Amino acid sequence: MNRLRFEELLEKHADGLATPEELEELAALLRINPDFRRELVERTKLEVELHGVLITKASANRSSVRMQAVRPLSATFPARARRRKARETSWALPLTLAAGLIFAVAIYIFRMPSGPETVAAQPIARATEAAGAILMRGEQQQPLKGGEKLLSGDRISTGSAGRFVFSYDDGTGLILKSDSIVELRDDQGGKRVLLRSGELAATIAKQPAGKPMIFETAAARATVVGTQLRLADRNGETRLEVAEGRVRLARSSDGKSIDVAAGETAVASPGRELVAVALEAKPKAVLPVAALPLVALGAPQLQENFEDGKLEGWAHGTIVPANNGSRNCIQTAAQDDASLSAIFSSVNLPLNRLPGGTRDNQWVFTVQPGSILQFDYFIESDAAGLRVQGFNNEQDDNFYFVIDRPVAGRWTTAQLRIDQFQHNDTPRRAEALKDGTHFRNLQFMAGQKAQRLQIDNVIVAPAR
Amino acid sequence: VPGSIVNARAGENVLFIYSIDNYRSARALRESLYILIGFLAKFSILNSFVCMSAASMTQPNLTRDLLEHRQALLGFIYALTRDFDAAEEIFQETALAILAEAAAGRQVDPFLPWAREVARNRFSVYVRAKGRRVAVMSPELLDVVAQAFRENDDIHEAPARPSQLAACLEELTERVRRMLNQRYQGGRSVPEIAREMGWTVDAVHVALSRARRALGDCVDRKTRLEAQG
Repeated sequence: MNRLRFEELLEKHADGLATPEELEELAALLRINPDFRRELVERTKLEVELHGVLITKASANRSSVRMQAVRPLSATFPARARRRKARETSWALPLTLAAGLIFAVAIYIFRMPSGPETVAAQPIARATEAAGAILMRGEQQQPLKGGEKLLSGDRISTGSAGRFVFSYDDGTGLILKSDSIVELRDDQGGKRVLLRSGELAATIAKQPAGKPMIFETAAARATVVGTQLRLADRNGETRLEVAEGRVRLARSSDGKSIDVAAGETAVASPGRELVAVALEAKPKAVLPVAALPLVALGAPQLQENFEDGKLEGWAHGTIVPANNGSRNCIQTAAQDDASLSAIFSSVNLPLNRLPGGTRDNQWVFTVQPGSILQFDYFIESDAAGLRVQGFNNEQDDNFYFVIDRPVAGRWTTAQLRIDQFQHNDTPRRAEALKDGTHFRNLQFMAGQKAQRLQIDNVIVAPAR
Repeated sequence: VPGSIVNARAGENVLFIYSIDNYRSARALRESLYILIGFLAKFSILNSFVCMSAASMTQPNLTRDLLEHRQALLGFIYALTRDFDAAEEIFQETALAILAEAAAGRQVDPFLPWAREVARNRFSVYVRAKGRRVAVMSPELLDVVAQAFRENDDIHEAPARPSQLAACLEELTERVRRMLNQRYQGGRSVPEIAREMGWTVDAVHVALSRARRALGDCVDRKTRLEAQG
C-alpha cells in the first residue's frame, strides 16, 4: 500500500502537482523507507539524463541553422534574467553553434570517450560562469553560457557588468573581471591567454614540461608553469601580482624580463624600471572573488570577542591588541613543549560566561542542528592547516575540523558547520556528532610552534 | 619514483615514495600498493611498508572534481528545485563558489558531500533572492531529499546511459515523445502541456508517469543486456 502511494506521490511531485499535504506525506514516507529514498535518487538521475538527451537531440536537429550576431559588443546580456519564453528565442541562437558543442559536452558528461565527435575544432577550455559575457568567434558574437566549450581563437568580453569564469581540464581556472576582453589560444598544446584589456586572476595547475602557460598583454608577457597570479592591463601598463610560484614577466617594448616570485609584484610599462617589489604588508586575496559567502547567524549561544582584556576561560593564550579593527584578540601561547601553536578554551570557564551547566557538567556550547562556529583568525605565515577541535562530553572524545591551507598574513573570517566536525578517533570517524550533546572546550591549533596564531570574535550560533 | 618497486629483502622496512600528477591515479596506485603490502606482510616478507605521495596526492583538484561530478551535483540541485532553469542557475553559482575555494587552495575529500553542501547553501541564497516567485519544498522534504542523495552516491557514480535512453525514447509513441520534449526540454509545466495538447491535466500527468516508468524499465533492461554481452 505504501509502495503504491509512494509512487503516486513521487509522480505528482515530479510533475509539480503535489499539494503541500501530499508533499508532507511524501517526506514522511521517504523518511521511514531507505528503498524509497534510493528510488527518489534513481528517478532524479533518469530525469536529468532525459533532460540532457532531449537537449542534445534538439540541438542536433537545429544544427543546420546559421549562427547570427545578436547584439553589439557593448551590450550587456542578462544571462540569468532569461525566462522560459525568452529562452525559447535566445536558445535558437547559441544552439545553432552549440549543436556540435553540446553534443560534445554530453559525451563528456556521459563518459562516452569513444562516441562520435561532431566538433571539428578541439575545445581547449570550458566556461564555468558567464554572467553577461559575450563570446566572439570569428565574425560572430553571441551570449556565452556556463558550461560552453571554448575553442582556440575565441574572444570573450565581459562588458560593464559581466564576469567570466572558465577552466581548463587540468584544473587551471581563470576569472575575468568586468570591462575586460580576453582571447584564448592553443599554442601547440600550451595555453596562451591574451588579455586585451581589463583584469584577470588565475590559479594555474602545474603545466607540462616545455609547455608553460603564457599570458600576454600589449605591454608584457608572463610565462608561468604553475602558480596563482593576478594580472591587470590598465592604461598601457601591466601589473602582475604573484601569490604562489614564480612568473617571468617580459616587457614587450624592449624585451627586458624579470622573475616575479610569490608575494611580489611588478609593473611593466615603457619608461619605468622593471623591478619586482614585495606586495604590500597586507596581501590581497589571490582571486578577486570572495570565498563562500558567509551565512547570516541567529542568536549566539557562545560569543567571545576578548574586548574586556581578560583571559577568563582560556587556558592557553595571551590577550594582545588586535589590528583587525577590534581592541583585543587572543594569541598563541608560546609553549616549548607544544608541537603546534595552540589556543585553548577550557572547562574552567566561569559559570557566568557559560550558557549553562555545573562544574561537573560544564559546556561552552551545545550541538544543535545547523549550528555554525564562526571566528576570525590571523596566521603569520603559511600553515598546512588550522585545526579546530573540542571535547564532546557525551560522546567522550575530541571532534575536529581542519581548514586546509588557511589564508596567511591577513585576518580572515571562517565559518564551520559543527555537524561536519569529525571524530578524532579514526575507527570512529564515521560517528556523527549528536544533537543535544555538549562541547566542554574549544581549541585552535595551527602550524609549528612559535608561529603566531591569533583568534578573535568566536561565535557559535545557528544559521539564520 | 613513479612506477618503480623498491628492492626489499624479507624483514626490511621499506619506504615507498611516489609522485603522480593525477590525483585519481595516485589514489588508485596507493590502493593497489596497500593490497600488495597486505600480501607481503601476510607472508612476513616485509616488516612494514610506508607509502607516501607527493603534493598532488594531498591536493585533490576541486575544479576537476567539479567537472567529473557535474551530473551528480546537477541532479541533486534539480531534486531540490524541480526546475531545470533554476537548477542550471544554482549550479553555476555553486561552480563559482567551488572554483573560488579551489583557488584558495582548499582540499576536500570526498568531494561530492561537500559540494552538495555548497549547492544547498547556494539554493538557499537563490530561494531568498527569488522570494515568493519560486515554489519551495518544506524543510522536512528538503532534508530527506538531501539524506537520500547522501546515502546513494553509488547511483551517480554509475555511468550515465544516454545511448540506451535515446534508444528507449524511440520506442515511445510520437505523441508521448512530444510531451516529454515539452516537459524536459522545453521546461513546460503539466498544465501548460495539457492546454497545448487539448488534454486534461490528469491525462497528461498519467501519460508522463507511464512514460517515465517505461523509460526507466527500458533503460534498466538495455543496460543489463549490454552488461551480459
